[in-house]
Amino acid sequence: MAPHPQKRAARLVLAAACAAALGILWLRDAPRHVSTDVMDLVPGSESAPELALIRNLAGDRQSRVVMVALYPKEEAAPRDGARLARARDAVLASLRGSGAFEDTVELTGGSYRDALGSLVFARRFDLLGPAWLAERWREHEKEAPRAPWGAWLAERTAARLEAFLYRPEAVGFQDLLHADPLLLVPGAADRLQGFADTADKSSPGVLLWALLRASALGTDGQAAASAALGRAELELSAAEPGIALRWSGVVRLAAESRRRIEGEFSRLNLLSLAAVLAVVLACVRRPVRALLLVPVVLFSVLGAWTAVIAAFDRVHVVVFVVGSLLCGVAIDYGLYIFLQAPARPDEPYAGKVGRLMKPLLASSLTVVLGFSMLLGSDLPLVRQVGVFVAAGLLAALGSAILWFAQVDDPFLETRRFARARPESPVLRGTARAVLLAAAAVALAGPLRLTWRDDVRDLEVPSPALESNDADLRSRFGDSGDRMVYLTQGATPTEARDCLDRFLAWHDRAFPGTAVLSFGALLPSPAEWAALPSRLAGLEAFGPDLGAALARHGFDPSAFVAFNDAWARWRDGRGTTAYDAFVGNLGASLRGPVALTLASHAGACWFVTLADHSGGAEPPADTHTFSSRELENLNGLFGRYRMSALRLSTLGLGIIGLSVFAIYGWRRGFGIFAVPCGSCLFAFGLFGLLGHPLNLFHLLGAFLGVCLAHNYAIFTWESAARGETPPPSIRISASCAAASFGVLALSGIPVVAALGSMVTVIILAALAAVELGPLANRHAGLAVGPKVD
Amino acid sequence: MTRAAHRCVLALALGLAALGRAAPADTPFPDKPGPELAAAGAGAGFRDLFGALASRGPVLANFTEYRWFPFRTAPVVLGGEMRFSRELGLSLHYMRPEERIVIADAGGLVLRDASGRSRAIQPDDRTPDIGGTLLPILRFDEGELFRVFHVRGARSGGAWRLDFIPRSAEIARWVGTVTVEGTGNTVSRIEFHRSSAQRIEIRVEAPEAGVAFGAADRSRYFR
Repeated sequence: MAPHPQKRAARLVLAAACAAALGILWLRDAPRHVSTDVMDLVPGSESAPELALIRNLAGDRQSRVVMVALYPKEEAAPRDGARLARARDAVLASLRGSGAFEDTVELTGGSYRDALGSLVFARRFDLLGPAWLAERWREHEKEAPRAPWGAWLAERTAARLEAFLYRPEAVGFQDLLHADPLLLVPGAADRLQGFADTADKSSPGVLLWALLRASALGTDGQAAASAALGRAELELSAAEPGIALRWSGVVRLAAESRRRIEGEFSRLNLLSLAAVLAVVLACVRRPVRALLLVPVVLFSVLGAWTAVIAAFDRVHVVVFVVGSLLCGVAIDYGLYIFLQAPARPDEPYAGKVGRLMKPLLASSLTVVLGFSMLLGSDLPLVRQVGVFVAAGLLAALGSAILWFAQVDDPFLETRRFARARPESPVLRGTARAVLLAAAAVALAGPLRLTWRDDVRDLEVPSPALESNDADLRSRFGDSGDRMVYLTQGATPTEARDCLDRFLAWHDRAFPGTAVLSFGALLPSPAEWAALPSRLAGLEAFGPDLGAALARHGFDPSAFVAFNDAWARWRDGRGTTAYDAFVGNLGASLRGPVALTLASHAGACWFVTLADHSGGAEPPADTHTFSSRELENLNGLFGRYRMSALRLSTLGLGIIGLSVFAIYGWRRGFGIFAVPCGSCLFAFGLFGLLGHPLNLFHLLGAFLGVCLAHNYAIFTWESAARGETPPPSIRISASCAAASFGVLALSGIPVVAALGSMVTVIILAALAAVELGPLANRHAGLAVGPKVD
Repeated sequence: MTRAAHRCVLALALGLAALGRAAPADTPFPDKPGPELAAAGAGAGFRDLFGALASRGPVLANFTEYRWFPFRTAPVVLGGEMRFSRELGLSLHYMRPEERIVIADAGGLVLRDASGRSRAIQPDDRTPDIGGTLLPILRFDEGELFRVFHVRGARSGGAWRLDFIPRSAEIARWVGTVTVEGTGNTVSRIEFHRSSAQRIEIRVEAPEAGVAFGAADRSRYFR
């Protein structure tokens, strides 16, 4: 027999919607849009400069650093330099051959120190010459402005060199001085030493530093790093079985976090679905038919996924984990339709749906409207949750209506206990006591609420890896008691000027405190710009210097190398722009020092390390921020929590107004009191327990309010028809509570926060709609509909 | 840079390590290194010398240091006073041409300027520990000396000459050969010799043996 035309149309619409959704997911290559990068929770257009800078840093080279330590497996064994050297060579060859890294250096053993020294020496005139000339020029103008500049400079240079020979350092630099009589490199040695000695000298073994080619936050980079280090470990064990390899880096922590979150995601979804099915199967007479509800949940999740993937380029995986809550919510509408008995034996499906359409639309559209308010948030995560839930609920409603049109007998009878409504004076008294206690909690508890947002709550803790990371960071000289400052400018010129202002401020704010800044070695833009005029009078500097050196007891012929290099530099240097010079220099840096300078189109920053912790923040005109990333990100989430709170309140207001508009003031108040009271109760409970809340508790509260709102509407609709509340409400609420209860067990703190908040609100709302009528029977408490 | 700083400072410190009473300027020290002494320790001909040098007490002396650089036509001359104690190490107090203190002890090196500001250079297991390496010479610690150096000895009457050639090529590259000359149980001259154009010579003058360093001296001249 051919299906009814309405049924066929519903089937076509459902199939077309499914095909369209799957097509969109396929075309968008959905997995590519799923991110575990915490920075995807920070808006790309974040206006706060320190956060924009942190976002840049996280995406830059800093996050691509991999630390590798090689050490004897038997720690008590004496250090065997030859074995460690062989191990180092094997690992370096393996890492370099893997193609996964764009730079690999050994921090121990002095090779990195020598390479950095060689670089500075090779570029000494460009790097250190302008500041040297500027200082000598100031001395010339102060001491002998009438003396010829070139001759005066030659005499001063020779005198300084002679004086330097009496210092202890002179013996160490004696192989260098014939090529550097200006003392450019010795003058910078102290400032460079900190960059060369980054590793903890007391750490046994060999420390290697590597920079990944691909992003550490993407799967490609993570897979490449894992494969390369795994292979290196194998080759090491073949070459030197007594030497162990340990490694860490953002890439490893991010990969582990992704793995754990993905595992959590699968586990939670399965558990959530199982919990919902368990509740339904326990409450209906023909459990097998309850499986007819599963497609509705799946359609809902499909709709939510499609909408969020289509709307956003990067979707944090937490959204999908949170999205598993839809299993508990989406089943609401299906249950409401499926568990409603037909008004008469021959009532057609269209008639039944028409009868239930008002509460279905009233509940779903008001909730969708409320969640749509979250689209106004600056925080991508909040916007994504808003779209996910709103789309999921619409998909759930549409698919429930269309799906049960396919079912021949769209009615599922519940078991007796699911419909039971026992009454007795004792129960009434108990109900009143419970409601009064709940009201007390709702009124007093919120006053004790505290808030704490911590970005680390987004990740599943991995103590072993974190401990390994902390240990390696310590070996690599990453001291937690040092301040890290980031100075930013739109161009190198701007950033370098800001750095001067910052360093001057730092000297005043923290006198006597050592700072380490590669940027400070660079000439200032003013010194660079003045270079042509400083060199203008030095055409005969070579001969002048030779004569001066002879007067001071030197052998001028020993300085031929300097004369040649000076002449080549002075004659060969073009009119390179300062920004190009800095960009070129930054690109030539290797190893950890490369992380202290970055120059991109539109942004340049310098890193400064200072030997103190905490203290005053630099003034705004320095464009410098201390990199308290956690604090900054936590502050960010705190700020967005307030934004989400405002939007949620607005959404709640719209829901309330919609309810008042649809149901009038009296019934509207009764309906609206349930979600509001439940939410206040949940806040009060957490407040009394001393449990601090965060942004995700707030999002959970908003969702819980919307669910409670559904139960209130369905209850009032039944009451208005003179019926007892349908069993679908308590089954639906139980499903949602089971689903969110599963989330409350999550290893991801924010997911657990959300799950626990929604669970408490749902249970409170269920208690309100169940106990309210019971307690109201004689006392007239307006916490629920009066049911006759 | 670090290596250079280590090398220069350590070389100076080590050069001044061997202290004793000054020998007359015309004492005929052997002009060439003697044969290598047995690695197991000083033979009978030198055992008494090593024992006497090792048993000296704290010493305070003046010194004059001559530094030869390959690009200078004449040496740079510095002067000051030195203090040595087996427990505290060696302290070189440069007084001419400017004031500065260099301390070499088991903890490494300390550079202290005239204002009293110090900078410590810690030895580690990657940078050749020149301070630690040369401490045996300061102390004439026979066991360590023969472990770290090839030792050659020559005597001429009461005068003697010891040449210490580091067994480590890296140390040798940094400090060259260390030559110590003296008479009896006094050290008169120490030389760090990398080449004829790169060497440091220290002449020890007017030493006082058996001095006691008080708290003020310890604080100012030692770590």
